[in-house]
Amino acid sequence: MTNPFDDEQNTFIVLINDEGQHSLWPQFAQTPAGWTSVFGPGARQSCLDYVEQHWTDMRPRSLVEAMDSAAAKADLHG
Amino acid sequence: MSHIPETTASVAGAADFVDSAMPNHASLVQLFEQRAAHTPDAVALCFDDESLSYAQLDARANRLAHWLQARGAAPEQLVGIALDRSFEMIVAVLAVLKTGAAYLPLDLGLPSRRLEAMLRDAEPLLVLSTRGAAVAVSSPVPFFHLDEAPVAAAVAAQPGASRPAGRAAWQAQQAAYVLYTSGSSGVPKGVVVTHAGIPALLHSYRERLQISAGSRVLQFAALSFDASFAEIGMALGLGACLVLASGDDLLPGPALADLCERQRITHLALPPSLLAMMTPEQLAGVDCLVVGGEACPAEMARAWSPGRRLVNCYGPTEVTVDALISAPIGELAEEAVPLGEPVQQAHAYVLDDALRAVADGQEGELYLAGPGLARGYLRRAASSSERFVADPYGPPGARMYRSGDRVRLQNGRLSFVGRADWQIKWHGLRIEPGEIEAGLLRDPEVAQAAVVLREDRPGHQQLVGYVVRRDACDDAGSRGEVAESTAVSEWQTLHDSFYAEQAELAGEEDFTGWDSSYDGAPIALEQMREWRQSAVERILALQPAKLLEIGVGTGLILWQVAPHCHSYWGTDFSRPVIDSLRERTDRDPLLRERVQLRHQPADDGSGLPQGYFDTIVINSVAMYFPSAAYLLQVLRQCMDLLAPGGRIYLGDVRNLRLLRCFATAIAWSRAEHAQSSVAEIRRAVEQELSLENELLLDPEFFRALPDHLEGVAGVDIQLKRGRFHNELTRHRYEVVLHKQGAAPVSLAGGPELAWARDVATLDDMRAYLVRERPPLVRLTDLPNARLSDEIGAMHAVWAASGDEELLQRPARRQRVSNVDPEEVHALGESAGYRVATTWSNDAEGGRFEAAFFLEPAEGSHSLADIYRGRRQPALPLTAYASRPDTGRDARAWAAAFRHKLAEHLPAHMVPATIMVLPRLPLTANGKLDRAALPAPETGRQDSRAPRTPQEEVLAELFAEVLGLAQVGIDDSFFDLGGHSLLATRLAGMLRQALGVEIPIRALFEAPTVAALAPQLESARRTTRTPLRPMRTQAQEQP
Repeated sequence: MTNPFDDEQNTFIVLINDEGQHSLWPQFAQTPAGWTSVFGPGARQSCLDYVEQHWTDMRPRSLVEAMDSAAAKADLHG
Repeated sequence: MSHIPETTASVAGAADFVDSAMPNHASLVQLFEQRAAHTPDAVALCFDDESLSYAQLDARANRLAHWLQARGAAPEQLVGIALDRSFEMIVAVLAVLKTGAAYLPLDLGLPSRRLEAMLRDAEPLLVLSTRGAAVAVSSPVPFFHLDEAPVAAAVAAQPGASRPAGRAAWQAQQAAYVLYTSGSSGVPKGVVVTHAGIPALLHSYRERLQISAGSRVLQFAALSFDASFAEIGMALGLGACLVLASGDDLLPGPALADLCERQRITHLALPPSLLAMMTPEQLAGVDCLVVGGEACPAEMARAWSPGRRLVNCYGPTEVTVDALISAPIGELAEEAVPLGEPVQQAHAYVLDDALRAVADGQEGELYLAGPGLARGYLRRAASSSERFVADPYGPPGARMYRSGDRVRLQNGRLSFVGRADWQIKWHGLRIEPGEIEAGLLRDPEVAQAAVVLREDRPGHQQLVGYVVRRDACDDAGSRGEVAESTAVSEWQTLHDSFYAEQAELAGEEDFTGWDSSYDGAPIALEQMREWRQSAVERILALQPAKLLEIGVGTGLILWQVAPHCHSYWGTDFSRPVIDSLRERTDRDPLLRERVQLRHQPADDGSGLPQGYFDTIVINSVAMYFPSAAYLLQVLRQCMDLLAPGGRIYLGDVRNLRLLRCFATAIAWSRAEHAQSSVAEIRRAVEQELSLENELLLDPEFFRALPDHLEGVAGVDIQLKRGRFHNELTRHRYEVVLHKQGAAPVSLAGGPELAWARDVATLDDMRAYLVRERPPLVRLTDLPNARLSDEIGAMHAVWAASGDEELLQRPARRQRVSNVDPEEVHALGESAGYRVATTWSNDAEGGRFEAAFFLEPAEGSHSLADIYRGRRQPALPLTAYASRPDTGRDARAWAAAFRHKLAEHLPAHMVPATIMVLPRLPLTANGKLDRAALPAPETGRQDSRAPRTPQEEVLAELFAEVLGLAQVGIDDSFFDLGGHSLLATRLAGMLRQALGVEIPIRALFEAPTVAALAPQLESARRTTRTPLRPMRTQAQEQP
């Protein structure tokens, strides 16, 4: 009884959503709506290594944009 | 609660709610400020007799927020809070949130190294603290003390009317707080929780906990646990009063009961294990009781539900406090208390291993979804991506969190089944054994580690750590030598004390102390006589003239052999033994001339003539050597003392290969008195193994020895002779090492016959010998009749599949197929052959082989290559030797190690007991067999607490020597795992701490604190040192 996300025997892919959030995903399961594969299929650890290297700003993209535009506005008026 | 799609009945969700009173995008701060505006004079905070209104609290939070913002506090920044329970603590939480930053609670009770690690990881902008809190951490992060005049003045000078205007608009996706949780990888992880889930959570609290403006919520949880955010939020976000209290008043029991009554608490949240310390009468005024943090037993729910609202809340730190809140739990007859239903906007899925929703009535793993999901783990992208994963059942792009909790879905309700991983809930605190294991492994001396939460006594849970120490022989450092000399001197003390009392009784047939390991009874005299006779015969067959016996003891061998020798030297590390023996040999005119006795340890060759002896005897002594390295050192020295062609006889070598078999047989014979399950016997075996403190050696050790010991011309390894089947004939063997100059006859080569395959009966073998008369022939694969029952027991215990089944004695093995080594000797001799029997090369150790050979013309007493060894690549010698120190100083080491661990881990994560094991038990497929981990020795359940200062001191010393947290006065020292060596240590500590001399024998006769305490009194009268409490003495020491 091993969780499919923990089972080293499984083959995995890396999914990403519009917010830039990454998800490990077992290859056997259908990719959920709103997510696209960016890496794999590969071993669990290689997928995790990919995530560690590529998901560097863990803030959701919408928050980054909101904060950037607010900061830009503040700079404009400041 | 609505069940969306029919095909996924287990996918439970709450309808998205629309509530004009609580806008979907409101932060806790906004809700609080609305309350402050509408009911400014309502009481927001209470602490003892003091209180703060909503308006006052808002103003103080605004001032601190302005001050914080001036120091850089802004969205996505972290501000540490290291404050005791106080108004300031709540002010700080609100102020940080008002700046848009997130707060990071720093628990003042944590070890400073852990706090430092958290600060390094989280890099907060600054930490709010007080001088009084006096956190001793070394960190580049600035600490501001709110109780220091300049800071207090600067804060007070800030505007209190409104919070600072932020540079950026407030976003629900911004971080609100970061909490560190135990991480399975061994490093605590910061969970980043956002504002997004807060409004829906507070709405659910209002609805399901019936919170109103008149409610008084106790702030019980520490700020570093997310339950504290729930308490703060449900009070200050919903217009109620938050009641603060000092840690002393919050102690479950009378103190907490008194506090709740005094402060008229209406809402209280407690983990079930703490609630168990209270009675319903004590909390009569509490209208709403929230249990959570761990599974709530049904009987507890039945006891606490009458007359009040009892609600179960469930949620890991990775969601905004609670993901599930139950309806009020009635006096239900059900077995399992429901976890609850999803809070507003949240979803709970129960999925199988293929991520499909399970059907009603089934078990699965619980996944949580909704706006309350945390953003992830701070700066840990990989960990975040494997726990917060794509949600196949939610809106496009949504995520779900896999909780690791196994739950059952029954009639649409969720109940807790267990953890999918090994995470532990202990007193409501979440513990990853992996993190503690990593803490254990951080020590370079630890090779393997495991941590489990045990409940060996009902209701008495404790964390137990198991470690396997790295092979000390790998690094022959000074530590090893010190430990070895300690070990040797402990044996010496034991023997001194033992023999001093025996000296008068000692005679030529003194077998005192030769007790059976199976039942503790003395081994029958006739069996001991046979044992001695066979050793004597073996030695006399070597035709010794100049003999040295190391560990001569009471002279069991000396009396028989010395009359046949030209000179007989004997050494022993115990002076009383040597003195007593000398006195007796001096009375014997024959022996007086030829016997030389010396008091010195085995590795000391001083005063012994080099190159002189033809025979050195080490009989039944090597097992007390502290390590294989020590044995090797003794053997090297023996080689120098031997004349060319001489030999070393090692008698009674304990066979390491059969250790597990032996331990199983011991556990088995004890279990025969009580019905035991397989799991219980396995635990008893592991226990037995963990307590083994002697040096055991695989026959391979001696076969490999010529590569490590210079000057060896041949090795002779034989089974012990003897008709009796006892632990001596089963588990011990004899070795002769020939020094160069000898020409031992090699028994390698010659035809081989396999038992059962080539030879069916002993008569067949005899017929073959008589007919063919081969000069040398070997009979292999003989099942050893001495061991067949024990090997059978071992198979029954270790091959059984079910843990809980009761052990059945296996059908007695067919005696016919088993062969007694003595029968083989008799057979060979009747055919005119000499016979040598030795171990087979089977891994189990249950088989033997026999070499039949015709009497050689000369050199008949020197044989070699009887044991042929296993066909496997050479391993280091230490692979064939046990580690006496794992049993010997393991306790002292474990106790010191535990102290060291407390510097890195929070108190609740430091195991109550650490056990040192020779290895970790594994299941058939190579995974850790948690069920087979031995229980730590614990005292009797009915053992009383110390009644007098003497008993208190004694109990403390018992506990210290045994490495236990505490010992009751009725607990037997030996039942708790004490053995003779530890008894020696205890006697030493009594001498040191109390100045009293207690003979070790007294401890055997009075093994409990209660029985021993009166003896202290009488011993004190003779030694004149006043009895002092140990602490006083410790204080006197520099």
